[in-house]
Amino acid sequence: MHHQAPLGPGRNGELRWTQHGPDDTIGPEVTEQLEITSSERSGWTVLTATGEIDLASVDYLQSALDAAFAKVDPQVVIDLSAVSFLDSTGLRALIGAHRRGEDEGAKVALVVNGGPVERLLEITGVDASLNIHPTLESVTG
Amino acid sequence: MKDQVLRLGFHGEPAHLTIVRAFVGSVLRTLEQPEQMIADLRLAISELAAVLVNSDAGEADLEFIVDDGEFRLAVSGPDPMPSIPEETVALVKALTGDRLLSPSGRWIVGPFR
Repeated sequence: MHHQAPLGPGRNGELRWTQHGPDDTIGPEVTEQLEITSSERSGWTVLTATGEIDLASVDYLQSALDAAFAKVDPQVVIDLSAVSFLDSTGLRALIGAHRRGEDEGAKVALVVNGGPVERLLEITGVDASLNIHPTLESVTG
Repeated sequence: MKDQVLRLGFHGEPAHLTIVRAFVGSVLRTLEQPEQMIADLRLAISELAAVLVNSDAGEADLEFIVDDGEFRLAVSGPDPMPSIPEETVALVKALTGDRLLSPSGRWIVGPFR
């Protein structure tokens, strides 16, 4: 059974989304697929994703993006440094966020520093059209 | 020499993608394959399995085949196989150097290097 953790403040006032796989089949080290935390930094909403983003988990990313865009004058940075896997469903969500930012006049940035995320962005050619930074500090100052 | 190294059943559930990817990654690391190849193969699996899930294709077989030291992925099961969206074809071709065959109800992708 899949479940989404309640949306609510974590220990440091962060918002936290977690998605787990079928608990009854394999251990939690494999089934905990994606965690997204939301925090504020220098006027930016920072969504920090950890784990794998695919068809099974992309809804959790989308929920976090929707919440970030619901704020007044949103500036959203999605930190993908700790994402170990991203497929085209996740990529579509990121492109959607980029376009939504353009439509709504909101700043949207990604933090990518190598690995499978950068590989996917490169081979699809999407890296040229998204606002990509190597570190969180280079976005938020 | 052709040698089938692994065959997995895929039951069309999105949550199974994670399990299959983790298992395949573990097996290929045991076989000391390059990390880039493993990453590309994991991505191809996810993309093609997503086509099956989105098509309500039910169960499918994923076969990992070694042929003269080169790894290929074969997907079969549904009859007929669902059509693969153009963007998925383009992405998988980019991963494998322009190879994606669909002979007689079977997708064959590779080689992964």
